[in-house]
Amino acid sequence: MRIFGCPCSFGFMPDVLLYLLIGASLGLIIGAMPGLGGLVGLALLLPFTFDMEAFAALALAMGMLSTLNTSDTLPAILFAVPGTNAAQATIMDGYPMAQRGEAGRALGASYSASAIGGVFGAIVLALSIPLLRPLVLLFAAPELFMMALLGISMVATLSGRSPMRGLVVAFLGLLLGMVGADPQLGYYRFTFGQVYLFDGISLVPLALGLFAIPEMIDLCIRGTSLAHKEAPSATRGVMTGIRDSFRHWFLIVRSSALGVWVGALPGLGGSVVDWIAYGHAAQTEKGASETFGKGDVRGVIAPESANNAREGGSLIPTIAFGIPGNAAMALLLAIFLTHGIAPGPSMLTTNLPITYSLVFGIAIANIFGTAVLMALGNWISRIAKLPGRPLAAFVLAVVFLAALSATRNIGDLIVLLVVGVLGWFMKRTNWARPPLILAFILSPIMEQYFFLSTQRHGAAWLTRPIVMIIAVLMVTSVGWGIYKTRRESRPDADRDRDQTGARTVSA
Amino acid sequence: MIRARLRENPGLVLSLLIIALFTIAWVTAGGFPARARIYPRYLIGAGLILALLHLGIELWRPLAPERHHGTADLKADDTHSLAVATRLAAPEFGWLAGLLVAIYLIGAIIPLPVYVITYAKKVARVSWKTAGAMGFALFAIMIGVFEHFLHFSWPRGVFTVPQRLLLTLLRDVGI
Repeated sequence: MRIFGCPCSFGFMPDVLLYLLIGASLGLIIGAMPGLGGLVGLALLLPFTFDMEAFAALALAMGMLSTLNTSDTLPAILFAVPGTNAAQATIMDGYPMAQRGEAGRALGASYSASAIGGVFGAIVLALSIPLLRPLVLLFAAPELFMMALLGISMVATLSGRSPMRGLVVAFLGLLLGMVGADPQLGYYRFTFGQVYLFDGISLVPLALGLFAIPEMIDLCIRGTSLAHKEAPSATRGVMTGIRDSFRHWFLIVRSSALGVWVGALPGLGGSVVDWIAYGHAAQTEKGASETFGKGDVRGVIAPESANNAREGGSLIPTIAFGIPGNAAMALLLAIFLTHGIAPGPSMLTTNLPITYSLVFGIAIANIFGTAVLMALGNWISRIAKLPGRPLAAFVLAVVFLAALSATRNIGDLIVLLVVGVLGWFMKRTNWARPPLILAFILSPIMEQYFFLSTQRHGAAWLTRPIVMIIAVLMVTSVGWGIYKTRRESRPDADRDRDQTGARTVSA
Repeated sequence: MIRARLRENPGLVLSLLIIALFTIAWVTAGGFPARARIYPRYLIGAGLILALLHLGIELWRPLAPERHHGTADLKADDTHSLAVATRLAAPEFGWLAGLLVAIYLIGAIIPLPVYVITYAKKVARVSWKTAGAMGFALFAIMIGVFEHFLHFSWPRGVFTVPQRLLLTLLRDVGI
């Protein structure tokens, strides 16, 4: 049997390794192009893999999937345009860092956290398949519905001193996610006779409109370069970022563990995991409420380690149970089946070398991707010093292209522009945008789980133990957010803060 | 009172807009078949209650200057008030609206590079050389990546002739 990473020999077949590196290089390119992403990349690769040898095909696909989440931070940090959905949370602190002239540091932290997270995910995948199997099976539709709600509630608490605004925006996202055919009956909801809306609103123009357009419009208004201040040496910045990652190693471990766990739950995935890790860091890291969102390197490290670790986690249900954790994994599953590899218990017994090959593939691709980006980081972070207006015009044109790539319908551009205006207004009036996009993504999944739960269990699903535990976690999360908000908005709290500040200044 | 609140906190406009949206959605969902309206009505109802509650809290609170919340979102550029920023942003959105109309009329291949060149020259005031290079780079991405590699079928627009002519010309010269 030809394998590209055999646990018995730890040897690699050169040609298969080459495919792995080609896949990783393609992943780096596609990840850095807003609007494309893993699904498009893998869909493009799929026809080419049919004639390839099984291990070469798997190496190509795994290489691509593993590095997408490493390079997607480039446009996220430099332009506030997420390369893929999994890079949305990185914008929160990565972009302010770039504006401060610390693009190199943000990128260095992001790459190293991504590499460590990716390798961590691979190791956990290798160790945990036999252990996680009973645990994953405990999560049925009711638990998955509650997990989605937990994800939204955690992001709503990211709305700083206004969790209520976050929740309202999340419900708006859920409403937008309901547009289109009802998944149960096929009844068209909120389409108002518009054919474009029959398939629902596309994620790509919505995400680009909410995040990319407002940032680029503000860049045009300012007329300055992306980085307001003079950037320090990008190389020095990159090394500082790497040191930051090692200094916050425990945050990486926690975020990676979250990434693996969320990735292992089918239906959740890349769009959620970065926000959950970001929310976790915002709630647990010292002084986060003051610095997160303003360019705190920990706000880059947490989502980046989590979204790379997720790839290892999302492979767990795919190879162990044949349940793809997300759409990209579904395409990977198609590659498995095309080459006569049946996912299931055999992947832990007779086909164990394949499983470990995937593990090694993830680890190698992550390290390779990080090394490539580290080598180019010095050059890449100079983009932030280019003049703002022409750069914004170019990026906006690419955003239009990316939006068109969703359904190739002019309706995508109308959505892009309308949501762009909405996103710009939200940004200017301090309404949090992340809960909207997260709820939009989860809306159809939640609806499906809700119907499965009620059809199968009636109202009794609400009394299931794990459902109740998640509900308690959710109420605690929102309650803690509201409590913190009220405490911090008290006038005496302000006075205390002012006095502390005065003392610090005078000292 | 609402007018004073809106002056102090323009974000309330969005509150009102969301309440209006939820109300319309709630009424619309009432016309769905029984099974199709259960889930939307639950969620929209909950969203409407939350939005009204939020509006009530905002109106009830004593008047105070709006804060900028770091973790809420990316930090907005504070150099302009909302009114000034809106005036400055309007022409930028106007450019994008113009681009949208142009794509609707003649397809995407011609308007996108033309937009980049025109904007870079007229607004960003870069040299013709730089503007041309930017437009060409975008055109190369569109043809090289989207047309050849992705086999992307471009939206045709109302008037299909200009885009069709250009694509035929490119094919004739072997690109």
